[in-house]
Amino acid sequence: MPKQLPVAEPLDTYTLNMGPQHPSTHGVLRMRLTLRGEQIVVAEPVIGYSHRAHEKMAENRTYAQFLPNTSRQDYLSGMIYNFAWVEAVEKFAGIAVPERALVARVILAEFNRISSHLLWIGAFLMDLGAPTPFLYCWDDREAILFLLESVTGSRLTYCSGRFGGLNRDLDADFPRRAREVLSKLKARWDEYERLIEDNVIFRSRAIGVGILTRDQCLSYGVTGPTLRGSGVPYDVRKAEPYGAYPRFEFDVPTRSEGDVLARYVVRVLEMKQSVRIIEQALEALPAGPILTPDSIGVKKRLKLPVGTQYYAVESARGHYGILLVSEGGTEPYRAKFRTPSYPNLAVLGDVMPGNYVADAVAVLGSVDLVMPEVDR
Amino acid sequence: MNAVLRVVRGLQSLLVGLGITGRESLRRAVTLQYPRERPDATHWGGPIELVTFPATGTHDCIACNACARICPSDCFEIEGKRPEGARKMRATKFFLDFSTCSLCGLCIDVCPTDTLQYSRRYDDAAFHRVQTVNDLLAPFGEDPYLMGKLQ
Amino acid sequence: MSVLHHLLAAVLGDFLASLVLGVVFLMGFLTFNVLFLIWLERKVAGHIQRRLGPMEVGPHGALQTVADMLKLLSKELFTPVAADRYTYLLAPILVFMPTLCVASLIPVGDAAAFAEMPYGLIVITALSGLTVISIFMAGWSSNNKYAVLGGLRSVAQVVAYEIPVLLSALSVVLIAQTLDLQRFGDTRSWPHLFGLPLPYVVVEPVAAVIFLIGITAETNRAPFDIPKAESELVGGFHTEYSGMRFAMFFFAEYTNMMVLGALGATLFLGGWKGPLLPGWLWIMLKAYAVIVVMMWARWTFPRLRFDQLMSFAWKLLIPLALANLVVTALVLGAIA
Repeated sequence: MPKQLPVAEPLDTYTLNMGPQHPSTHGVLRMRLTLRGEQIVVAEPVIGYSHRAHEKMAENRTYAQFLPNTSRQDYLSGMIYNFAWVEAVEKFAGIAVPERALVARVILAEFNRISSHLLWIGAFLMDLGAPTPFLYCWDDREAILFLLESVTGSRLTYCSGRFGGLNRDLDADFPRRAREVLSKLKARWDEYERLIEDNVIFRSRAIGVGILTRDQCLSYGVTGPTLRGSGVPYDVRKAEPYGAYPRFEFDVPTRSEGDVLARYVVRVLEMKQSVRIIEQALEALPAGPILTPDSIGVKKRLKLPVGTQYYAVESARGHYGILLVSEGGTEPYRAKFRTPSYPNLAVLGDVMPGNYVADAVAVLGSVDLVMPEVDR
Repeated sequence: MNAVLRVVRGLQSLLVGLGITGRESLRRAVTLQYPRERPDATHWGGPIELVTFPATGTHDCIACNACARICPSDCFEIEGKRPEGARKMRATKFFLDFSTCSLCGLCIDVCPTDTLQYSRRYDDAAFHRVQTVNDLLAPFGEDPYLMGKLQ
Repeated sequence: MSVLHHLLAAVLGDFLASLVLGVVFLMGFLTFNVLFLIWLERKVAGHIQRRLGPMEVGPHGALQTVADMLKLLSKELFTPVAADRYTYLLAPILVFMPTLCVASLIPVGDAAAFAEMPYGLIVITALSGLTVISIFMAGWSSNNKYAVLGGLRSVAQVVAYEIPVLLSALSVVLIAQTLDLQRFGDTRSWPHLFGLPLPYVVVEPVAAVIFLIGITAETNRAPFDIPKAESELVGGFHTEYSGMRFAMFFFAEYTNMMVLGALGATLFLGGWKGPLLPGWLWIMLKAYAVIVVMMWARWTFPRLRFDQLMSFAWKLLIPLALANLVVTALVLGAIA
């Protein structure tokens, strides 16, 4: 329910439904807008159209059997979500992971983050009416997806994480191909900046629009680039370091304006930081096994000790947390997924009123929602 | 004066943008004209298939059902038969419903004889749902183990 | 042509024969042009976006538009239950009328335009504002909030952007000393450099740019395509139209583009005048040059928000066009 209902004459406003099928709501989101002319008075998100009961499925599958579900929650950060589940179970069960696997996970996760942000840039610009950067971003993304396909065999929903490492090793040629992809990406940043960020039409649609104040973000629990665009430098990779991230140097880009442009700039800078991390990781990639022997959880049954544990990673959209409650069996008693898009969507009910309908699309796009992860 | 400068800079950004798209339009398109040109699928993880081992010329499935037990989506339908005097069973029926398979690869990892692998097919398509059930034994002719030719 | 005219005149009388021939020929000419333009748009869009555009139907997709028209013909024509029935059915037909009239005024040769009018430019300006009536009819009668929003936005947009178009055309009229489009081809009034006559765009670049922006807004093309902003309003004023009725709007948009592009070519680029090639070919090439620039801009820039669009027109373009007009008048006065 929206928090404040404005006092208005009944004939003054009308209800417009940006329905579940809409070219611009990312996935199946329904926004019930109450409009006065073109101004939004109340914006109420209605969710649940994409609910697939992942948390219930987790209760009926063993820890290894749940692996394919993980990527499907947020299919744009599929690798990160897959590794999050694997790492959560490893931490809970005390499974050791070889060094090579830790660094390889960082490389693959950061490539996934770059590809997610590239897709977001394309989709966001398309919402604003410029269809061309969409194609440019997908062309660049294609290089990353081809690289990830050569490692894992999949392009979008990955299932290469195993308890104790990865299921397939990076081949000897991987660093060379990865560096090629990075140099191709780095050549593009300038072009994106001149085509998009400097463009006066884009700037006039993005500056001062959809301002999220710091207090709004903190009270709703917004995380990720949406939060960092409002001045709070919170990144799970720095706040609660995991995996091999403490070994690498990278910045957490933050902007204080809180408008659409700030969120855009934060994501572009994050892509550049991801490139920096990957370069360091490729240098530091050790030799060794990619998976602890035993094929834990696959060939041997995995039982977690009794207890509750929370594990969090930084996905492309923010703080993704897994709460595992185990009663000592081969299946979790309860798995709760704290997905970043849920509070990111909730804060929009506060932000949208006062803006125009056209701005609604821009603000919705700038928050980078993936509806399947809101509904799980 | 400030306003004039803003207008001029705005116009300049528009012209720069036009220049970028104009330059891109003169470059080669990156489209792969399928089906005349085919993508590079050498590392693609396609629908699961049985490995043909060079030493025996056939697969090594012993119908242990480990893959069927671990599959999160219940895709497998396996039946086996023990040849005369042999210690291990051989699969006589191996169906995999591709419409429910999520290509997770757990069956490949769990197989004790390493007889499953990803194929390189990317354009499997069917008109009816019954056609999505793949018969993994179809590429293999008569089973030499069951014929008694191998032990 | 004249044989046909004589044959028809024998049956229908002189005036009706001219009318029938004119309409048929013009419609046919415009149709073929539009079919080509739609293909061109898709190819331009494709190559800008690093892809190929249509390639399958016909060589390099040349017959793609025909295939699309056939597809649209085969779609079900439904009318929303609560729609204002006659307005709804009339809107797609009416959207062509003003464009056809304006097309008949564009000269394609030294003494060749379908209608000759000494005050052609004023008639054109009056007619080009009429297309928005049919767009608003479409939006209102669809009984759909998205459509109404689209229609309203279109009305405000067209009304606002007609003024810069007229003002920039007036600047050229001041130099050419005539409102008759036929006389714009008279090279004696053109500016001359080293004895060579140059089209008006050389001396009126600001007016040319304003005119180009204005006709982009008149035809509802990006970055001014808020009335049919696909990512916001699903379809804008043509949300509830399907099949051939939608094709009519689509068609009308390209026809409008073609005609206004030809107008811009007549005013600024020298019309049908040019060496070697016949007049009608020159006007077509020049109109296409204008249209390609419009397409190029469409696929590069994001959309302006509606209030930004309106303030751009009222606060920037109109003062600029007025200033240009004053400067032109002063310079002409100083020269004379």
